[in-house]
Amino acid sequence: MQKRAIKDAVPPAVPPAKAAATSDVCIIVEGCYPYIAGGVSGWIDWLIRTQPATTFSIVTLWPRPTTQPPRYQMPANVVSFQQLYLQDFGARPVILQRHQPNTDRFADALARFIGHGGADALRDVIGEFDALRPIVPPQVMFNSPTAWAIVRRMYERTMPYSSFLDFFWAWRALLGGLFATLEFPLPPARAYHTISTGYAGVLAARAAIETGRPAVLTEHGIYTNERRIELLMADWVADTVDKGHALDDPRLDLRDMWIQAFEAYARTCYEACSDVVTLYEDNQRAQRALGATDAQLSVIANGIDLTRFAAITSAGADARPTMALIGRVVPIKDVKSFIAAASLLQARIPNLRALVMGPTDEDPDYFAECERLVRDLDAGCTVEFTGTVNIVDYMSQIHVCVLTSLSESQPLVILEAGAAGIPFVATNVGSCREIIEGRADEVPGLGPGGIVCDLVAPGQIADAVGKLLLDPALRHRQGEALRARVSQTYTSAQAVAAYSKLYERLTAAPTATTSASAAKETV
Amino acid sequence: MAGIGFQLRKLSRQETISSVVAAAGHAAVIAAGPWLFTIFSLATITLLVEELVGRSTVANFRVVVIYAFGVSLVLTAPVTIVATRCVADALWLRKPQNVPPLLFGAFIWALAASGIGVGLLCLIFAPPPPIAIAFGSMSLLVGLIWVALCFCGAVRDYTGVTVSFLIGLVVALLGAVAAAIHDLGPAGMAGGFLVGLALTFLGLTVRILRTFPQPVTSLRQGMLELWQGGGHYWHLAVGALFGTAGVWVDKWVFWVSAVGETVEAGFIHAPLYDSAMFISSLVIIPSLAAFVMKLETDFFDRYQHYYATIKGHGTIGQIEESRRRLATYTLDNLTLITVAQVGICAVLILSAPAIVEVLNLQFRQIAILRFGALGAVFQFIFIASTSMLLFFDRRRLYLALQVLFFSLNLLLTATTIAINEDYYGVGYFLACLIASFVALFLADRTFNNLNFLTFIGNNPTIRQSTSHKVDHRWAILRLLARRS
Repeated sequence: MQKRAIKDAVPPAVPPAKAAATSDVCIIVEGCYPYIAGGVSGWIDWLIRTQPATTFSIVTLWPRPTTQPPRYQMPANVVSFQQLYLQDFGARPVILQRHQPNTDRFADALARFIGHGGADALRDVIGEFDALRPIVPPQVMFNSPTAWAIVRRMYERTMPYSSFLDFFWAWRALLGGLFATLEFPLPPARAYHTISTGYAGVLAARAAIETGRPAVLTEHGIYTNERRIELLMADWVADTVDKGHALDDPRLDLRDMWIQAFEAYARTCYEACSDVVTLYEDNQRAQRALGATDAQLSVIANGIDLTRFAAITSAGADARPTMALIGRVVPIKDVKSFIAAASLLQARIPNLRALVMGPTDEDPDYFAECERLVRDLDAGCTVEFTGTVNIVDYMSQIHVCVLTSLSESQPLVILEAGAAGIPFVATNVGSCREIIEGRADEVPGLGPGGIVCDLVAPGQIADAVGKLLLDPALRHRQGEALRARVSQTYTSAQAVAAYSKLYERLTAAPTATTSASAAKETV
Repeated sequence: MAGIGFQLRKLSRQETISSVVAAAGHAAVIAAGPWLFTIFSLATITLLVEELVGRSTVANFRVVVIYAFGVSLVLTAPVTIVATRCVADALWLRKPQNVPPLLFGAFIWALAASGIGVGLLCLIFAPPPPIAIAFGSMSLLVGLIWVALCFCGAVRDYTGVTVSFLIGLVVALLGAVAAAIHDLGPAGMAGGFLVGLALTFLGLTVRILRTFPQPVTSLRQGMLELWQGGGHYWHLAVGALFGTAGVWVDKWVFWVSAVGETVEAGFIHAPLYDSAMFISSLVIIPSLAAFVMKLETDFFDRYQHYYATIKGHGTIGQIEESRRRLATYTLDNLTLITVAQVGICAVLILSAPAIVEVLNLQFRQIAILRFGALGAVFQFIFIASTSMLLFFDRRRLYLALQVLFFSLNLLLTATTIAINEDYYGVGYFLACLIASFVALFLADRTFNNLNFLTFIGNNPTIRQSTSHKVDHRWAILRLLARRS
């Protein structure tokens, strides 16, 4: 049933599911590729295309069947594509059920799993799930009196004082996704590569447990952190326990339950994966906090193609002094701090030019506010919005690049500026400091490629940019340091090599003993 | 960072249950009541004028009225029950302006439904033109009354219903008797009777339009909405059709059997069976009235309290307590009223010979009267239990039970006719007995499983989101096949 639903929903541009073909690597991705353009989806497309000798199968986790057209053409080395729907689990409700199995052990295993997680807890859940399957098919069970027995027991065990209605819907959403993940037919592969924790991470953990093949995680942003922020901002999660002002109330709230569940999923994924990769070191704090060990952790940074920027000449000392922010005009980029810094600086540096290079139509209200700020600060002759342009054409006119963002992961624009030998002033977000100042283990130390500032600090930005604009020697030194670091650490070729090495090791690894294979051997 | 993560917000808070279903439960009870009005007025008219105009004229008049009420009640039942749900939906959505178009839309559908029945019956029985006209106009008018009645019920305007019916009844009786005195024949009596019915209809419609003074913007909108409602609530529509037909089918069987007689007007009937059954079914009135009253007050409070507990972030303990109170209260009251009903029934059974004598019936009708009264006890339980199922939106069960009652009444009545005269009425009694036990059992189970049904089994959100799925029964069949 599951299989048929999947086949029916595959959009025409996608090759038909060839589930039987064993691939080298099965990519498991939640909520982006191939339906959303850019970001992580673009990265996956890059990864598959730059490993042409490796065959891939892809499992996309998506809320429910969609008619959205895919934004990426499947490369030729993709041998199968399957979709797993997280919010579409469960057959039509059954009211009469002849065999009502005892599900207490299953409910307890589930409660342990979504409460704390871990590979052993997942193993228990899978075991109980497999034991129930012959008695009642999971799709039927999910909307049957059996599910009712499970939800009641889990409620009594975890939060018997809270709103049952809210618990029920949270339970359905969490466990519907979990059951769909447990019930999904795994495509055979030599290694499983998940691009986030969450349900994708649980599927990868399940693959490792059931097939004995290695699983690996590449985490771009920290999934649990993103879910936590989303949950804290969400007004749809009722605060179902009135905690008043008692901060030490140990009672679990629904919000806590969601966060706990996502942390449990992450913990399970970290434990089951042989390698936990991320884009930059700072992410590893969160990964360690949920149990990832140093032996598992590694960084494979995104890289750029240096050749595009090789021919660019540095802006001369006699050219009009130019600072530039390359990015979309949206609040998260904090363009206003950039404008404020430019207005502070125009008093010190006559004839200053401050470029904002990127689309202005994504948030028209914010763009209007920025334009008003330019007028209010009397910076009309300095600040210039170029709209979408080819940055390569402009780079030979820019002396200093700036990023005032409130949040970033690994911004490619710093790498591109570095490739062109332009020093960078950026806020301390994501991997900005790591790229500008170098990783702790950088040998030999290349020195700073620019200056790192605090968030929403126009004064600091103005000082840093001013220092670089007024001191050509410093500017040149830091630009060259950044160029050296980019070509040493952040080239596309290096990322490609790192992944092909990783894949080589994983696909060649011996199959670990699984409980299933152990059982087979004893028979 | 783009991509990872989908929106959680859509998962959590979803609409759970709407209290609009309650209205349909009410309607089921109310719909069972009015046809008793027919019987009462017919009995009265018969008593008043039989001596004056002779047996045959009264019989002809009575058959016309019975046919008009029967055909309109059965055929408009789907319209009225769907209209009740649509009105409840409109009120729940706070769109009172949708009610007048629904009313007039329902009028048109009701006219169409009754019209089809009138046309068919006139073709089959070919009554003389004056009778056909009287029968046709009465059927159409009564069909409109059923519709107006259900709108009053949906807004709980019981005073309006009572007053309109009382005035209409008195005028109808006077009109029919006056026509009889002036020797205008059965068609004339029907015409006099129509005047009263028209008053009832006007009274009800005025009450409704005064409650909903919004102008009717589009007739088509109301008709279309009801048409779509019929598609959505087809279990209710078909269930109501079988439910009302089930009440009549034992009579129909008698009409077409050897016991049936043809009156001058061309219609067939079976006075031996009909009159006894009509009178015995009057005993259900006090119980139904008591039941509706209990529904309106204490039951409805507990019913709403149950859903309020769920929506008000209650714990499972609180929800369970609320469910238990609702279940215990309802079943206790049902028992209480049934006991009272048994008492009334006993009185009727004991006094059957006296009633036969007063009403000028035949001696052999005593047994039929007694079986009818016994059956009425269980018919009350059946009506109460099935309306409970509607309160909890168990439409499929409602439909299945109505089909069951219809089939039982049809088959058992046919069987008892075939045996011999001593068993007349036993078929109806057994049908009521069996159907009521099944209905009570299912209502009891519904109360016991209410929490599961509310959250999973009968949750409209889950039903909708899984409606496109392959029917699970095939999965189970496959599983069984694999095992064996």
